[in-house]
Amino acid sequence: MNDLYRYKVYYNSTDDFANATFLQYTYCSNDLYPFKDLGLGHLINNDNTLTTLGLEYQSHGFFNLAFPYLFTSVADNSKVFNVLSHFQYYVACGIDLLYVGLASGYIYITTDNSDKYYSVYFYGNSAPNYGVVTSNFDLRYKSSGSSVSSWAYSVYPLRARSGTSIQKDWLYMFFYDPSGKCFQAFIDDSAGYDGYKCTSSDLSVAPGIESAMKIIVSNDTPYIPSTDPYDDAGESKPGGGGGSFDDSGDDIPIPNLPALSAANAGFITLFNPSVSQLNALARYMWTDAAFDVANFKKIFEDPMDCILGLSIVPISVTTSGSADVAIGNMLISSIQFPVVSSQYQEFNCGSIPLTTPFFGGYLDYEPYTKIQIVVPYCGTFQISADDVIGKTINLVYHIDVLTGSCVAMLKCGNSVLYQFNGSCAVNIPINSINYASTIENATRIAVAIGTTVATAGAAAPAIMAGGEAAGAAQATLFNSAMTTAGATAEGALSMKPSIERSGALSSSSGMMSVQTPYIVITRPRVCVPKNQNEITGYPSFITVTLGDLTGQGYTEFDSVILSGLFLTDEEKGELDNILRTGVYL
Amino acid sequence: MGFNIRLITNNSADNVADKNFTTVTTLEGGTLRDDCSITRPTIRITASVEDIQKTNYFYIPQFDRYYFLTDCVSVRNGVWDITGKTDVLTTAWDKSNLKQCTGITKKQEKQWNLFLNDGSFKVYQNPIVTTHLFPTGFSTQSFILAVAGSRST
Repeated sequence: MNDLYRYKVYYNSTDDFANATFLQYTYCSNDLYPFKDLGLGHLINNDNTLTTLGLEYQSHGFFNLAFPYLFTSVADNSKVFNVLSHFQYYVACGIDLLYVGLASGYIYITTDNSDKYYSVYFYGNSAPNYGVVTSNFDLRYKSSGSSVSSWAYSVYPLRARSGTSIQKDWLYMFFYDPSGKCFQAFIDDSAGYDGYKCTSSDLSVAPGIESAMKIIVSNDTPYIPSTDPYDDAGESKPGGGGGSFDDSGDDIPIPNLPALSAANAGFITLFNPSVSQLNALARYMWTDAAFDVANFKKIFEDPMDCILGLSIVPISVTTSGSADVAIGNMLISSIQFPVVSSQYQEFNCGSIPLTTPFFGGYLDYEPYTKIQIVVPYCGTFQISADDVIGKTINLVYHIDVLTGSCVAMLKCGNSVLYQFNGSCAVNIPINSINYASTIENATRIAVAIGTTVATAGAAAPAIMAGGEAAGAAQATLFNSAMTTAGATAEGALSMKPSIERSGALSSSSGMMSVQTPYIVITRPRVCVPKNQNEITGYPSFITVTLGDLTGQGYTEFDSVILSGLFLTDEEKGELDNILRTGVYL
Repeated sequence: MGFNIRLITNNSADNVADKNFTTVTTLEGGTLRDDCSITRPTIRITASVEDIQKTNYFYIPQFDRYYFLTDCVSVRNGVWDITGKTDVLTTAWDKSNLKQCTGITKKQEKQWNLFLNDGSFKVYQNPIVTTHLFPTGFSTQSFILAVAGSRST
């Protein structure tokens, strides 16, 4: 479709079009109508789909629209349109037609010969020989003769109007006025009855239908109805509420250490030797004649093949007695080492109570208060103040002493809310291959740290800029600095950059770093004028009877139900404003 | 129509409901000027300059309203046209039913809840940064020697 004409369709049940309810737009394609003025063809339904109207091609070259069908199918308004049935030929009386921006046009309300339905025709002014309706609210019909100048006007304000033109055989025009008078303009140019015949008769008016509909024909900018991309989402409905407000949940405890470990398998033994014991082993293997290398080599190429790893872990591991050291199948009976009881060890760093809030208000929480935790061997992490404020936090490590992997679990209150992984073992090279691997690992870690530092460096100018700005402002007026920096807590904090305090420091780097985990709490420095609560009050949101606030000082109200007052309406409005602005009761 | 008028010195702020005021004098026979409203009346009274000087507030019992004195015009010696505007807060509080009305507070001097974030507080740009150690850190190291072969006791 192109060049759509838009019809505004209104209805009401009283004789008051000024307050008629807009029903919908009806669109007609211009190119369906041969005169290019108006055409009827499509209807935009309430669900925005297009309905092709019941068009019939007439011998006169006009399209015929069956209005009763149209309105019945379009307007789901039974109290009005159910009366637009076939045999109620005052049907059209309830229709008002208004042309907006069009010089002319007609509405013809016709019946077929059997009076079975009514049709409405819109005619445009490009058609010659047709009169022009310039007054939209008068009934014009021709009482006699054929001259277009001999219009007669209704004495009543009519709800339908029409131009008249000479059509043949098939035109009846019905008009209806609020008084209950029905005018029938019968047009017939058949032999002996050339011209118009207008009659009238009294009809009883069905209550509520006399001004049932108004149609505005407009040549507004052609309008293509849009397609709502959320059509498929369904129509909005009221809902919500009925929640349980059950804020109970399950605790997430620190898990137990794994039950099975490499030490249980029998292929590997983990020892926890002291320095002197390690020295003794080294001496035995490299210098002691008792070590039968020839016999050992029957199974292994190199004695060092049987030493899977030597590492340093940052904890005292639990042991279960001592045992002779066996290197592969060679028992070294002269040396006994403590045996590590389990591959997995737990290390509890203790707790930090955060149960007492700093402010005792919303500033204790995100985004105003920010908390970072430095977890040795894992890194530095941002944790949410919302998760930890008001609780005791406990940090527990689970360490795999064989591989050096570790997991640090942060328990907030009764549940583990954060887990960080890292590596805490420093591998000691015991042969050339180990050494190369160790150096490679160290190099990789160094690169990682360098990258982190570079990232932090990129953020540094922002910090510096902030510092310079604050300094400059301080040089002039500190108060203005505060205002410029951000009027509210939210404003100020939103400008704060997030700083990475360190990267992941694991293994050897971790062992050289701070060995005790800690948290960094960044809180806003609140600015409270003296007696602020007396002058502006503090946040409150409670329902009160105003009399109960007597002597309670300053109050601003969100809303008040002002009832039972003898004040004028204007005074009540002023009082409402005063109560919202703040009063001392 | 004659009016009784109590001329008052109001010592409180306009937004105080239970105002602290001192009666200057009570007059009888004030005359309502033409075309004046009950909410912004202009009344002709006879009063001394001293009394007028102290007056910033008045009360008309027939209207059951307190008024802020907005203007005072000398008509002739000792005769004044005083104009007022209803003090709706005190009138509703003292003479009407405001105490029984129900409302929801937005800010309150004593019954507050600081967990409500309404942007009341300003903060300085320099935050408070504190660090807190966990009680136990890594203070020892141990060697771990992993060898192939089963434990031999």
